[in-house]
Amino acid sequence: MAPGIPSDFEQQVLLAVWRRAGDAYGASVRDEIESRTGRSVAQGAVYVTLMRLEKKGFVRSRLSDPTPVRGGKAKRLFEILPAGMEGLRVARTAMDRLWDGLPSGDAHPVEGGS
Amino acid sequence: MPPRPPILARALLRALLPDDLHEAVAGDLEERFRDDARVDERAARRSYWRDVLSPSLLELRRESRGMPLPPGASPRAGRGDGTMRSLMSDLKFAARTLMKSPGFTAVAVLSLALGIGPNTAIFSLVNAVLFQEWGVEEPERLVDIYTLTDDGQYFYNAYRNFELIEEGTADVFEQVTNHSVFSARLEASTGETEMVLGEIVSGTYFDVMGVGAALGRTLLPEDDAEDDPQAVVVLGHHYWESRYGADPSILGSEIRMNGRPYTVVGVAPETFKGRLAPGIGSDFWVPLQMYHHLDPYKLNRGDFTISARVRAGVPPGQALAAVQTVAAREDAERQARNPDRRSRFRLVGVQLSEVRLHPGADGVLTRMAILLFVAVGLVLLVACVNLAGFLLSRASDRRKEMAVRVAMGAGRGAIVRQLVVESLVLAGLGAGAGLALGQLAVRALVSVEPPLPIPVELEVGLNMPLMLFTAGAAVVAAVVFGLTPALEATRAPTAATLRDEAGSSGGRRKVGARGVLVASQMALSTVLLFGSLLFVRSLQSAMSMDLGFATREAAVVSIQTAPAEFSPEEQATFNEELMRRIRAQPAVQSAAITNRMPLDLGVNNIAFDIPGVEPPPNQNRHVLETARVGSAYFDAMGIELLDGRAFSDADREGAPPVAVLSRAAADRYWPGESAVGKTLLPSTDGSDAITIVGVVGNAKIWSLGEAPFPYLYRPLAQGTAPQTYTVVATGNVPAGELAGLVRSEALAVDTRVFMTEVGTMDDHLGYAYFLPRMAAIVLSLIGLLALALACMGLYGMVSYNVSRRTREMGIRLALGADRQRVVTMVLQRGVVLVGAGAAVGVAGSIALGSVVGSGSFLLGVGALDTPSLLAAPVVLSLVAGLATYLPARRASRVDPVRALRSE
Repeated sequence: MAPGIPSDFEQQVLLAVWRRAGDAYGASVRDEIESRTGRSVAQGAVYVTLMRLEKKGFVRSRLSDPTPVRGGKAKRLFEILPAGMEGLRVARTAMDRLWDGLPSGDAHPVEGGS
Repeated sequence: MPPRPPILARALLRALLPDDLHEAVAGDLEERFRDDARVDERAARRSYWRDVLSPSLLELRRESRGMPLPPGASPRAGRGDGTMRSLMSDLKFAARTLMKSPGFTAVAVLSLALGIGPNTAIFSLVNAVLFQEWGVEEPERLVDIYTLTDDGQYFYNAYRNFELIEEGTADVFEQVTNHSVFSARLEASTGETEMVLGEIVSGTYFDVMGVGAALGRTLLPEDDAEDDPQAVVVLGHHYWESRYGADPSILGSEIRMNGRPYTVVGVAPETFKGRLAPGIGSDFWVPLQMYHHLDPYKLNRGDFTISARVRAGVPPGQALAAVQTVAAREDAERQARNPDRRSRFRLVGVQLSEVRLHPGADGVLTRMAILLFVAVGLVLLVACVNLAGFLLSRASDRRKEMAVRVAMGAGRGAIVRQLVVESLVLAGLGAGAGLALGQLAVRALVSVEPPLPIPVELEVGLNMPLMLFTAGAAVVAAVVFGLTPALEATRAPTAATLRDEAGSSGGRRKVGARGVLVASQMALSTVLLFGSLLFVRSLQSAMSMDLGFATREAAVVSIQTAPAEFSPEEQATFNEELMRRIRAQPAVQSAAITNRMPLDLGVNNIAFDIPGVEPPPNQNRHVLETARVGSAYFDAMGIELLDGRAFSDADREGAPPVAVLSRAAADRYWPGESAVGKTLLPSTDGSDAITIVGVVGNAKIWSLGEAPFPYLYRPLAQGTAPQTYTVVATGNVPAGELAGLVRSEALAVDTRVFMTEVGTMDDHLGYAYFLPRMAAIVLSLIGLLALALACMGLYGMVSYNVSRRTREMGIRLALGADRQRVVTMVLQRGVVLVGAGAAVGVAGSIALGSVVGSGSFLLGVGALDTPSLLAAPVVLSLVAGLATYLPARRASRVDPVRALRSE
């Protein structure tokens, strides 16, 4: 992938952060991805991706106040940045172009014998 | 209280993540846990563990390095030491790195295990033999007293010495005891009979030893009263456990010893195994004054050890001096009574804490132990050199990785530490494997029962000293041999490494270190191989040695009768009848009796004067070791008759006393003339003069390595019939069958006799050959091990060296060099190293040889045995040569273009 286009999982994380705007942190991002994609995801993997996205400038983070719910631990809240939005848009456009002209994907392209 | 995630997992998370990350991640995970726990707590715990152990967390850890802290975060001091955290991470990193290259790890661990294993085995063995506790109270206050012979040997005491000590040293010793080894025939209540080994002791024995009973009581002075001794016995703990299942009701019951009932009054504690020898436990103790029933001649045997406990407040040195004073006084008195006497009477005391087995044997045992330790120590060294070689090669492979880390800011110290941790992990694994291997080996060694009539049980299990020793060996291996490669790896100039210019010929320096390793491998392995060859040849020599008697198939059966059941007349009748019946068997060609076989244990001496021949300067009379033999003995044993005649049936009680001398004895007293017809005078009044009627060839009496032994044979029929003797029979059936035949004939004559050994000449000789055989086996195994390790190491290192030079070879080939020349060029370097190593190895072998030679371990081969000295370096050079040639040839076959591209 060309630099600047987020990878598949990065896109998933970015979208989850976007959806959970205001309350996007490790656990909530993970929950979002799992409930929407149906696949289970390791917490560590989510965090690694969030770190990378932050390095690339797609998101930024800050520490919230501690909450008793989490045993007194603070949350690290993430927020999508314009660069991140742009990355998503570019990725989506690229995918649309690849899909262009193809049936929606129900029919198998090669059918029958031989 | 809401449930919390598993504490161990939480701790792991804490150790894994840096503080700034930890809080957020831990919080997220805990939140998830709480949600899950509402539904299923167990599943929640599992899920939490999965997240903590997920590889992505390690990745996270790496990702987060060097990241700026987000706004709002305050750097908080982490829990625990930073060093601890780094060590933990080093440990994990090392584990992962080792798991990534399983082949290398396996070879390295194996190499270490093969090196450490033998060390732990020998350590166990030596510890069991030389360093076991006697189980007595305050061994430094316990003194053993021996008679010092004229040639400085520590010998056992005559019975009377005990009285001397008791009377003359009351001011330094609080108690004195007289004790001796004793074997008896024990008949259990089930009717089974067996020979057991124990001690016959005076009443103060257990007081002197400071040992109380585990069950019942120990022997008391009252049991040993001279006028009214008690038929009581104390059993050894192990014996009680194995024969009586540790049944406490044994107390007060009766067991029959040598035909008479003895009451069991107690059982000794497990920690006290008696005073025989390490590994040989006493099965019983009986009062000394019961000798008249157990062995009427006991007091004449002169095989007593005197032990005494030093009084509180008296320095041991003073007690030892007192012993010598008593002896000196007695010596002076004897001198005054007999001014012509020439031998001296000397006693010497030794503190028990200074003794391992016996003052005479300790020196030899210690030397053997040292030899074994040196051998296995060298093996460990070889293994370590192997390991260093592997690590060095690997370090070179990873120098790029190291350079990157250095460029990223990692301190050299941190990298070195990480590499040392890696080799510590390897060492730990190697030590564990080595310990297991060593235990297997030592148990195998110990299960080889020495062909003694008594079981030897050594405690060779895992114990603290062993674990400490193994841990120490592993740490030394890791630190000493892990550090060099570690330092090497970090020395590579960083920029050059990154650009891949620290090229295929390595730096001068790295080859230097590896070259030293290759040469050391050669040297060490040469020495070890030489050592094993030496002992193998020694065994060969021992096996082909002429023992002076026939070692062909013969039955050897030891028979014992009990003095309580056989009067001397009955004894003589039994012996005669037995021999008559055996000889009457068609399968038997020859048969004879003796009271002491060659290469057996036990000694009988006879002192005499010889008219016209002076005794040696420090002796009053002549002394010879002697045995009583039946007629046809020399024939049955295949001992050559050199002069005169052998014994006949005419040489019986009432007939003139006769004797036959060994060649060495005849030469000693009458060199150059015939000894036949000469006389020996056992009594000073000449009343029972012995006439020499024959001279026979020398037979090995005590050991394979002895010089020709002066020996005296006398007819069995002319002395008191012995109660223990050996029947030797040859015939035209296998020896085993013959032995069975002898046994059944003995029982047919009288069912009360007991066979202590029923076997063949091979079995009998097994004892004499045991040590050279064991030494050869153990040392060959060690030598083979060294060879295997050396092969692994040499091949690995050399082929690695060569592969590093592939690029160089490719260049040369591309420039038109002859393939053969290229290979030769590579070989040259190898030859130089191997040659240097072999030279050092030969020098080391010579040094080893002179040490071994002085210890009288070898039979029939010189310590600087030329075949062994040559064979070792030659074999290893061939191996090394092959190890160098094969990879060189393979590398030279490679397409030059590919070689140029490779790195």
